[in-house]
Amino acid sequence: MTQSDWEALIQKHIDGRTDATEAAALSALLEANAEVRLLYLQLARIHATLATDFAEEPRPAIEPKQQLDRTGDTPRKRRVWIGLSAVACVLVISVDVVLTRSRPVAPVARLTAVSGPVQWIGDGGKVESDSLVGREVGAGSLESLSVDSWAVLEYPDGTTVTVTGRTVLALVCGSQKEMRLGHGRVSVTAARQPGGQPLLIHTPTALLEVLGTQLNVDSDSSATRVSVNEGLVRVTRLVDGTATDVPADHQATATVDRLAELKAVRRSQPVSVWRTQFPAGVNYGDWRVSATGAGGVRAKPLLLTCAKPHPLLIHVSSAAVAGKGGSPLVLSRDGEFVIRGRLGSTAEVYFGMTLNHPKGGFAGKYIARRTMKVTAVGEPFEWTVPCAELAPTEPVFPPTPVGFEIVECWCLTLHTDHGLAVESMELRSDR
Amino acid sequence: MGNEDAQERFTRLLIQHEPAILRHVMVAVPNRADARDVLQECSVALWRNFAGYDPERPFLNWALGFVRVEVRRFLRTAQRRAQLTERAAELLLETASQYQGQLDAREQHLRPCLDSLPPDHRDLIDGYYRDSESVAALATRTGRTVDAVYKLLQRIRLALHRCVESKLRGAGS
Repeated sequence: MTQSDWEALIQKHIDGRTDATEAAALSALLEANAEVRLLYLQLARIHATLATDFAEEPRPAIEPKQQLDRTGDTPRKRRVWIGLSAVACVLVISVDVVLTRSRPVAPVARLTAVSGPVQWIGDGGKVESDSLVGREVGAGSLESLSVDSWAVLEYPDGTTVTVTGRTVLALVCGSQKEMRLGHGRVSVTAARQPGGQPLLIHTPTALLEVLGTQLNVDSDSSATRVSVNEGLVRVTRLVDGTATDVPADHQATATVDRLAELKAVRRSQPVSVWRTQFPAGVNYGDWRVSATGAGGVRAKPLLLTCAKPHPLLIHVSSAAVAGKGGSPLVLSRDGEFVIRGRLGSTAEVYFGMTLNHPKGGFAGKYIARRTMKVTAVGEPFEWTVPCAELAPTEPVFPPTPVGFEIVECWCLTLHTDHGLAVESMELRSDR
Repeated sequence: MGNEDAQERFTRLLIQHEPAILRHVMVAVPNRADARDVLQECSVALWRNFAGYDPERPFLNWALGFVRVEVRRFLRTAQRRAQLTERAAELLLETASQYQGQLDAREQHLRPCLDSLPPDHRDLIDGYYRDSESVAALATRTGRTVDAVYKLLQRIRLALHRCVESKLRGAGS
């Protein structure tokens, strides 16, 4: 193998494109050859530095002539180009980490409600988590860190953006409202936007253009799910530039799969029964299968350094919720949840959920807790939670979750790892 | 040191050193999402063991011991993509510690090399690393195939590597 073969193999691995055979070949080379190790480290360090230090800086202003060819005739290309050239202070913000910035930025919105561990990373990379309510924010990153945390941003025109659960949302400072949803869930109620200046939401897989509407967006690295309750949203899939308009009472999913159809479909009738279909739908936690063949979502640790009054360690398993065929799941009065799982030791277990208004935005978070006693490591438990036991996490939420749409459920334990593994969550109802 | 002081101190140290810890994780686990998972596990381990941290010692050096453990644990269980063997990763982390000074020195030259990239290459690097655009999105935006984008990213990183080498030689002469 020549040096250039080594370089090619190392680079392929850095990009996550090696198969098992190639990874084994590279490992053998690294184990045997100190020169290859040093070359690997030098190349990997460039990759890591670009992904950490440089990713935290604002994108430098680029003259139009220096841009890649964005004058092609697809609507997406044109819009991105117009947006970039029109924006006076394009600060593209890393959605993942603590940033370092030097320029002060003008406020664009105000945080009007915050609950749970939430932090704002703004000017100069300063991380703020205290007294956020009422804080004016400019370009920066709003991070809701826990399954039970949430925050509301309000723009001067009355547009509100609610982030819930584990979500990272970066605000871009510009002539129109623009944000980047790194991952997680937002609920947007947009006032009518000026002509030609739609509210833009970038996600890893889609660009959403919103004129005036109510919509809910749920995004991760491979898919963006958009549910529109009022108005009209244009969804452009990034993988191939395909676009579709999603009207009220419809939903669409933009994935990285260009063969999948991007189509607005009418939202199905709500259902009132549901059961997890793990490993599908895991939002947080590790799906593991035991020697006996039983599968469960092992709770993963989450260290909430900005929790009050002290940093808090929790272990969480969470799941996205949707009824059969993507139908909304609505909690009925006689509804009861059944959670089955295993614990390594006796623990206080919390079961919680995030709710939306029927055909609307964020409605609240509800929680129940119970001390689950086990006498042996890995002992199974079954916990039935009638909806009457679910209490709002904040007094501003409606007293009962009945009648609302459930979008996420989770189980967690506090402080130490109690070995929580959730095998299933189920909503039963006689209706 | 009161418990509250310890928590504040830990948070400050973690925030201060997080980028350096992440860079070390990415040596053995180059995928950014995977590396962040490992970083999260490291943070938990560091917090659990913070009572044993000697403030006279550099925090980063102390933290790197936990990086090795968590990287090993990750490589044992990761199934999302092909990974290096534990032995190869261990050797890489050892070599990284051995050459830490040299690797840090190389980083000083990376900025001017990055600034000297042709605009379209710089734009691709910004899109991929700073804006976290997926390769599929970059391919659409730039009218290339996904393979071509990967190849171009590799060529650019190699050009940066060569540029750093050349600047180091210049600085040494």
